[in-house]
Amino acid sequence: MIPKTRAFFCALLLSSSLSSGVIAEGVGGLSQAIDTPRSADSPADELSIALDYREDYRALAFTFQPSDRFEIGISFPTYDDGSGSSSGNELSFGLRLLDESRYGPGLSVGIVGFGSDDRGSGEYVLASKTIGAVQASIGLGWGRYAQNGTDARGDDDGVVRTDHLFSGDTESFANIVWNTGVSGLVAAAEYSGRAGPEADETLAASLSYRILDGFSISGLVNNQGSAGIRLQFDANPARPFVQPHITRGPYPYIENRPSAANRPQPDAQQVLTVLQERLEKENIQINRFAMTGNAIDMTVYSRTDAVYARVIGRVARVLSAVAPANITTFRITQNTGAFDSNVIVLDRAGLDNAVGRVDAAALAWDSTSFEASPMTRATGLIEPAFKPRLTYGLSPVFKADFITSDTLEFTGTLNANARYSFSPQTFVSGTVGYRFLNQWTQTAPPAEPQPRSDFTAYEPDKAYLESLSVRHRFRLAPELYSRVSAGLFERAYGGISGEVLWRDPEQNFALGLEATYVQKRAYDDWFGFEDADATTLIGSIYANIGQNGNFVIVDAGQHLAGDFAVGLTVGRNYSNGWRIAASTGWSEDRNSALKFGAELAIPLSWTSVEGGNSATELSVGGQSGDFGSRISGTGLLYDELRRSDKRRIEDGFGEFWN
Amino acid sequence: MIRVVFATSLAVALSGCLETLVQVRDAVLNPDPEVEMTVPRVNRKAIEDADLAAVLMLSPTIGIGTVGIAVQMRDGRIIYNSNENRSVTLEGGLIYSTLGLGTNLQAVTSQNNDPLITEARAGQWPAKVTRTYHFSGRGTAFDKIVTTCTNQTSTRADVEIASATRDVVAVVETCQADAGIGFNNIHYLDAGTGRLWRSIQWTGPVQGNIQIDVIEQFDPDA
Repeated sequence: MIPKTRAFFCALLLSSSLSSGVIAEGVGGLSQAIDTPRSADSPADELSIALDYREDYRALAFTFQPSDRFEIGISFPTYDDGSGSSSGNELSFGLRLLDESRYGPGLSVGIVGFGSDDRGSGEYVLASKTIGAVQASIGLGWGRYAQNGTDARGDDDGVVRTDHLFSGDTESFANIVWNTGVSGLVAAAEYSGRAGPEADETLAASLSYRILDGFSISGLVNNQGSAGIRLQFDANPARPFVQPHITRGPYPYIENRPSAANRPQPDAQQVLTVLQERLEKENIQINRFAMTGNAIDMTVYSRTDAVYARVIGRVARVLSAVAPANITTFRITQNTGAFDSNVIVLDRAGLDNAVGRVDAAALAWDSTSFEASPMTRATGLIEPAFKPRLTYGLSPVFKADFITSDTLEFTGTLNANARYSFSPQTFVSGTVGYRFLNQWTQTAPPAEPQPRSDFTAYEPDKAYLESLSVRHRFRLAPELYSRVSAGLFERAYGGISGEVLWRDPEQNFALGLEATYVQKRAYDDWFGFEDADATTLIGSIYANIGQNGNFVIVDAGQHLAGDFAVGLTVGRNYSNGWRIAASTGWSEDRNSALKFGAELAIPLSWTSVEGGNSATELSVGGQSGDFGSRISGTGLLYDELRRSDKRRIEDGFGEFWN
Repeated sequence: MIRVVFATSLAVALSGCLETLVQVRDAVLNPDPEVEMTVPRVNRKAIEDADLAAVLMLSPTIGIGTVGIAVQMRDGRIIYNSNENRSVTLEGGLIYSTLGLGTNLQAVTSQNNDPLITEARAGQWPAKVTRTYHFSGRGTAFDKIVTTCTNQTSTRADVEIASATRDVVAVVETCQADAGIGFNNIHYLDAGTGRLWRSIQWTGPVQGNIQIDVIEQFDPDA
């Protein structure tokens, strides 16, 4: 498991040992020269992760561009003022209102720290012009771009604060960014009217160097006595992906011409034999095969290809060559491990008409329909076989911890995992963890156990039982999925949990309901419990909206503290396995500003030459307070089923013939 | 003892970091791979004896060279397939699509009387040719890149293709696309008939140029 989890955390971990200078404000999650903003100039789907490191300031920021003119940033800054530290959580937006013309500049506007008037929030408007390799910007800023960062901007106590936007003092700024074209060197200089501890105006300069394609490091300095280092990772999930280790192309598609009916036709066993031989070369496994009437019914699975549309396309290619002439329908069942989630029905005549056309993928999609998998089926030539098995491994996890640290410290935990599967639907699993990097200091347990905020009362500095639970999944009806779980779900809670999820493969949404009863786990031993319990009842809507894999998840109901809370997650799935999402929440019992989280999943096929269809995951923020918090580790069904969403299959259908 | 075990595990994890960074560079970000082209030996006699139409396909992007045999004709286009199922589809001399040679080219549409498709003789080519390249993108609609090419005819020369010498005229196309993409195609046309013997054609922003050597021409009457 080590190679599967370490990729991007390594860069973050290594960066935590860099030295730096003194206080300054830094990354807000949006495009910027050094500490002043500039216009977004990257293509759509570009994302970056940046770590800003200075002696008294650190920030981790995610930036994502849903389109080439709109960018979203989520940043997690922490400030150390000597007398104490504080942390922020900023959701930021940047929008290019006007594109640059031949002679005219572009116009952009941005809000950093939306919904909050905390330190670090700010707004700007700017004009920018690009000439060759140089981009120059000039603008006007409010908040962080105009005043001392320690000054409060407003006294609005609402959950979403807006009174301060584009109000208060303003200062001008200007910056210039020059891509030298030499060894990935980018130079930047900027001016800001914002005063600092050593001068009434701020001048800054930086030099960036591309260590590897996509990884760059910047050194920056200003006249306020501040210096620092910024490490940045950039990628674009939509970028075409050359497979340098590709060993073969797909089999040719053979149309079912009328003359084919006059030739001797193969029987089911002969078809299966050829299919197995050819699909094995494609790393596609057949779990079930049946040939009845005018249909071939198969369950197929690829361990190396995350794009299921391409998998079924390759199966269809082989089927086109070996299926008897009377077969008019290819029925491909998608299996998630526990469930047959879809039957994808391909009309053979439609594929015959589509292949080789200039709109071949669209025509193939028109020949495709989705059905729920039936509860029972006639016995096939081969059926899924399962042997109970034990799997285990070690997985180091590095993350920025906001629960036991308020200075954005990176923590490292080594997990030893084991799982015994009785069947595809039922398993028992456990994890023993040890935090080897940046342990927390144990605090005295509170008089009354708290939902989350008493986490540091748990004993650090020794191995602990993270989880030990049993899970069983089953279907109540073709479109009704269910789960029961019991045991120790996470470090702080154990109990029982049940879930029902309704999902029609033809629809672009699903509905879920989870009920959980838990007891607070003991602070000082593996199996004990504290005298505190909780019941959660949370309904969820999972919706794929629009195009391009965009999704929204809304969770609402009674949470751990007994509070009614609503959680919102928006994001984008990519057919190649990438996933980026941001989350926030609201609780009836919380009167502070919204908290934002971000998550990123990068498929192993992009981080390992061995490929694979699982993912490296990175998440920051999310639930950390007592309110709006739910139990983790129960095994939400949608996490397993979302790869089967029709919209996700459609999103990958451009790869059907590849 | 347990600290030693964990410390060892941490060291193992960290030692993989640099390797992982390199993997990320190579696999995630797709730099130009430093690949060596392996060009297969062509047994011309065997191909002629079998009376097969065949082409040599070279993809510098992934360092693959392979021989494709004409296996199908669809809508007037000839599909050449190799043993490993790498393939090109040729419409006249135009590479219409590719598979297994990198990122894949789905289709190319062109103006009427594209001289590369009609295999016009050098000197008879129109001043400009517009072609549209179709690539897999998100969803069911292919992404498109529209290019306009001007051309220039070079001098007559001999080229050797799979042990046979061909009398050719080179036509160099200089092409420009909306997205700031620029590339060159080079076609070696038979000096007498205008049929294509060798062509180095752009097939996409990542896959780049692919070279096709026609070992044995397709004869529809054969």
